[in-house]
This record gives sequence, structure tokens and C-alpha cells, in this order.
Amino acid sequence: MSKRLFDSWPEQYDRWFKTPIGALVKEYEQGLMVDMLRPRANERIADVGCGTGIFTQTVIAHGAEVVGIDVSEPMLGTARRMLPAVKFSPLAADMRALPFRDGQFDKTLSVTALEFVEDAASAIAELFRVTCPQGIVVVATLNSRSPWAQRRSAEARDNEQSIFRHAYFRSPDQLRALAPVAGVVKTAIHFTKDTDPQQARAIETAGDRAGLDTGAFIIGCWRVP
Amino acid sequence: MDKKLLEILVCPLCKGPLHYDKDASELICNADRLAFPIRDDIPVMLEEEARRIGDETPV
Repeated sequence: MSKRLFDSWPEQYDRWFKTPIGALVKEYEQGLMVDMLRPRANERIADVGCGTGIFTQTVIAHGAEVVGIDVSEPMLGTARRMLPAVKFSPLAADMRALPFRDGQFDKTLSVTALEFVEDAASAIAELFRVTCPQGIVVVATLNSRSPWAQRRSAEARDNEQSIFRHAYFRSPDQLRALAPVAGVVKTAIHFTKDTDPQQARAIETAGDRAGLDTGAFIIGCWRVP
Repeated sequence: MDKKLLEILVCPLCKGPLHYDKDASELICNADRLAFPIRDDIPVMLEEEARRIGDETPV
């Protein structure tokens, strides 16, 4: 993983969430994240791989205080400009080596950061270590079983600049196996980038009801022993 | 440097205590002989960004 890789990424990443399909993706991903993390006022939450703070913003809107961790200082700079200073502290670190004492956070969140780390076991162990006993860890990553992953892998082969050249896509079972305790793991985003935005909601509802494990977004939630 | 954040910080490598050098804007791990910079009020706790402290330098 290289921190430089992400330094030119903020704009492109934020622009995607403003397209019609990107906005739907954001809505479903954020909804699931809130359902699992259940952030509350004055909780202390670590957002590991916070990027420009797209998910952090939602956590802070629920009243929590967030330490935002990322390898990219430019991304952290963007996040800081967007978020209220009293609720947000940025810090540059590698998710495999977090600079916190054990059990300092009520809850820990990591959204689409794990796919840029080969040694996912060390990263997950760190998320559990910094979260207090009975606290909650929520991790979201991109699903290797989804058509989105296959498309991104194909794009990465053709484009040397693609961020996904450096990505490790994992399956729901692989994510389950990384956690030290049993938790809840599900997938979302059953439509694709080319789906007519008018039809995307119906496709998402059907995929969710069927309990498909091929959604682009895997999210897992665990209680720390 | 945010006081509440400073209280919970340790060295990312050895998880040992850090010394905050306010004048140099650095967080120092004496065990690993590393000085992590604080740039634009952001602590940069990455090993590859840290300054190696020579044995001769008292910290």
C-alpha cells in the first residue's frame, strides 16, 4: 500500500458519489453503516480509512466524536475542511499499525479501506484492539463475488493509473473468517454501474430480500469480547 | 495538538509511550528512536514519514 496512491484520488472519488447511480450507492451504503454502527451522541468513534470524510460526516451527524485515520494527508485535509473541528480529529496512520492504546474507542468503523491492505488479518486485529470491550467494530469492503469487482479488476488491467490495481477484493466468507468472533455479515448494492437509476431501487430490494451474497459492498458488524 | 487525542496516542510500532516535543512539532518514541511529525496539526504516525533519531541525540 502506498500513501501516494491516494493523494490524487479525492476529487475523482467524491465526484462519483454525485452521479445518479453513485448517489444511490451512497444512500444504501450509508444506511447500512448507520444500522450496524448505531452512532450516538458523544460516543468516541475511530473511522479507519476515513478518506475525505463521506461516511465520517454521517457518523458526526449522529452526534459522535470521530478520530479520522487515513494514510493520505491530502484526503485528511479535505475531510477537515468539510467537518466540524469540535467533532473531528484527523490523524495519518496505517491501519495495520494504529497508534492508540488498547480499548480507547466505543466503536470503530472502517469503510472501503481493507481492500487496499494485503495483510487484512493485522488490520482487523488492530480495529478490535483499539475498541473497548463490548464495543462495536464495523468493517465494509468490496466483494470479490460481485460483478463490480470483476469490472474493476478488468479496468485495472487496462489502466496503469487505476487505484484498483492495488486492491485485494474479498468474499463475505473471507471477511467472516478474519474476525476473532462471530458477527453479522451481509452484502448490498445488487444493481450495477450501468443500471437505469429508475430500476435500481427495485433491483436492490429484490437482492436484499433474496439474501444475495453478491452485492458490491460487504459489511460486517462484531461485538468486541 | 488536540489534548484528548494526545492522551490516547502511542507509538504505532511498539505501542509504547510518546513524548510530545511541542517546539519541534514531533511525537517521539524513545524505544524505537523515531520522531513522528505533526504537519498542519495532523499527527503523521507513519513509520516511513518518521525521522530516525541518532543515538547521540538526547531526547
